Amino acid sequence: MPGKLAAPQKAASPTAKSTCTGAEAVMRSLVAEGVDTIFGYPGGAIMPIYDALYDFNHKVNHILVRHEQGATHAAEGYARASGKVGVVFATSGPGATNLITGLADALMDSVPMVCVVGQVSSGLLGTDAFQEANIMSVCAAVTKWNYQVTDADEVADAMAKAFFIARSGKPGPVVIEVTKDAQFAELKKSFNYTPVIELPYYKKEPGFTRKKLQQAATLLNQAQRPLILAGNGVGIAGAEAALLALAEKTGTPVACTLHGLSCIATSHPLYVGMLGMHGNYAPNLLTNQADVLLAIGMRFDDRVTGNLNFYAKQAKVIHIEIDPSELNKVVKADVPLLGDALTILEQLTPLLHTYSHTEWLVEFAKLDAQEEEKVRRKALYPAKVKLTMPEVIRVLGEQTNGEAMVIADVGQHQMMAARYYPFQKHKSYFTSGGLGTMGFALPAALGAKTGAPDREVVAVIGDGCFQMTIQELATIAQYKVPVKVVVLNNNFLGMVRQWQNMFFDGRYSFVKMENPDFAEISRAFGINALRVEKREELPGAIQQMLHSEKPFLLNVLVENEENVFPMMPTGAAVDGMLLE
Amino acid sequence: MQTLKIYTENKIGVLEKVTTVFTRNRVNITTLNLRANALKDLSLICVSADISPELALKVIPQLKRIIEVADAKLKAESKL
Repeated sequence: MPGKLAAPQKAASPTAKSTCTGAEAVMRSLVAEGVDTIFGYPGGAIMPIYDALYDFNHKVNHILVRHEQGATHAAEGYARASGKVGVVFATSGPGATNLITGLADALMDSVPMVCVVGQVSSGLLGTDAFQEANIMSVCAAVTKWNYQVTDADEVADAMAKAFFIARSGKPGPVVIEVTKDAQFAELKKSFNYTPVIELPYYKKEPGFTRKKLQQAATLLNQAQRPLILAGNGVGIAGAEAALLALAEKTGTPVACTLHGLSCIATSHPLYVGMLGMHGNYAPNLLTNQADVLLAIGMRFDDRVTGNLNFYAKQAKVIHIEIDPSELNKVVKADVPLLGDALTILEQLTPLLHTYSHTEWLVEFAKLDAQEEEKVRRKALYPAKVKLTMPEVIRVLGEQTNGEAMVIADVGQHQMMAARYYPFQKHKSYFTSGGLGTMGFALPAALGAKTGAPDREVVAVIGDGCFQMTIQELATIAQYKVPVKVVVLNNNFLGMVRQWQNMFFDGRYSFVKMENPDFAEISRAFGINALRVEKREELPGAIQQMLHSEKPFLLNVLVENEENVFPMMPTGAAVDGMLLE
Repeated sequence: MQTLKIYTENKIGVLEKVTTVFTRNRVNITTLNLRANALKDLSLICVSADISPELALKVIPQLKRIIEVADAKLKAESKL
């Protein structure tokens, strides 16, 4: 693959060795798990593992990022695009603490990741040795599981457990910390990697009863105004087709959370829009008129529910969820169905009657027409002199036929991409939805393109976010990953500015940004780029970007003070959305 | 006052993972007792706190989410 290290010159085949160090055991474990890509950054306490990696270069592609946070987001992008576990290497101390944001991000968004981090030798633990940090404690709140290995013979079992935990049940990040002496030490036993398929006290998939399934079916069969709320769990379970089958059989409209986007084509007649603070008008308002909500793999985030005191009090709630701690955490479920979304949907649909809810769908259409008139038309075809974010997304959508994988950062541009990109393919919108991590998109796009090289991957990034992980342009250039980057540059921290504009009397407190020319910056990194300022330049620039077989960046100067509408203000109910 | 009985694997760092859940939910622990190998090679952690039953019931599934936790229940219903 492009950018790999030169092949080792004198390395014997690792598998031919009769002995094996802890570091080699890490690499053999990764190979046994089928890992083909690692995002990482070396340092003192992980040098034995990097030395072992040198011998495995022909089997595993290591991408040297420019900051460990970038490695975690790249691994997230890789995992979400490929469906595999993302793998990260980092050293001890600051290398490991730099992972924290990405770990928290992966935990919030249920992304499978295994991070192997170095640690000082076990004899130095607790001595404030150079680059020693108590990573096990630091990581406890931001990982699904973590474990410190101090014995080389423990490596294989710890790695097998790590991969099982990361990918099973509700996926999440795992940290395996290996002390330097354990990396150097030779195994006393022969290396043996046995994949883990179960653990004594961990239920990867809690069960649901036939009785609950029948209760859900009865509710749905009696419903006159049902609404499906499709979340992240649909895509994670690969349940897109099962969701569509249920929706089409029962004629039930489908609304998506931010993470649920693209699990159904936006052009499908049953798709009624995005839920949440900047989602679509109709599904938000009609959540409070539905008689049955079928929530699938979503966790009733506060950005989706608005004021809980006024959220769907009239509705019976069926909640399909794999994590028991999510049930009744925010919204009480009348019928909880614990388990994998695909399994449950495939068993639920045969119990449902064929139906159509024509009048109910007309109500969505009426409200949608209001949003079209008051918001969308003006946003997509603006009369303003300067370019706007929605029209850039519109042109991008037209030129990619809605088939690109869009990786969005966090802020106004994230919402504009979510609202206006016409998703036609599954697994096409990845963003930092839970933690809201600015700087996510550039490294995540690098990882996504590595994990799904056949997809057109376009990162949509704001000027604030871009400068948080801008150094990963060097990684993209070095490994020649043909990621396309669209910076929607309004010289503001746009979402914060919008809130200051609407709710803080226009007192703009530290949101104005004087930026360098990102196109010139990009070219300095070795990535072709264009600065786009005029409307007539936009289609040609996007076309040039998409036709490029190399990474390409557009620095698009957009309207400085554009607001995202509709909007559900803090404290408002879902039916209290503002159209303007 | 609620008392929770939490059965965990007897491993380094598990107590910290357990107390993190209480911290996150802003629960002040008033009594804590840990006995290793109390049952089937499991540790038993008993935690008392001045919280509502509703909050205790919210904390329990979060405790169960910890990989090393075998079970967590309010004291009255603990039967493991």
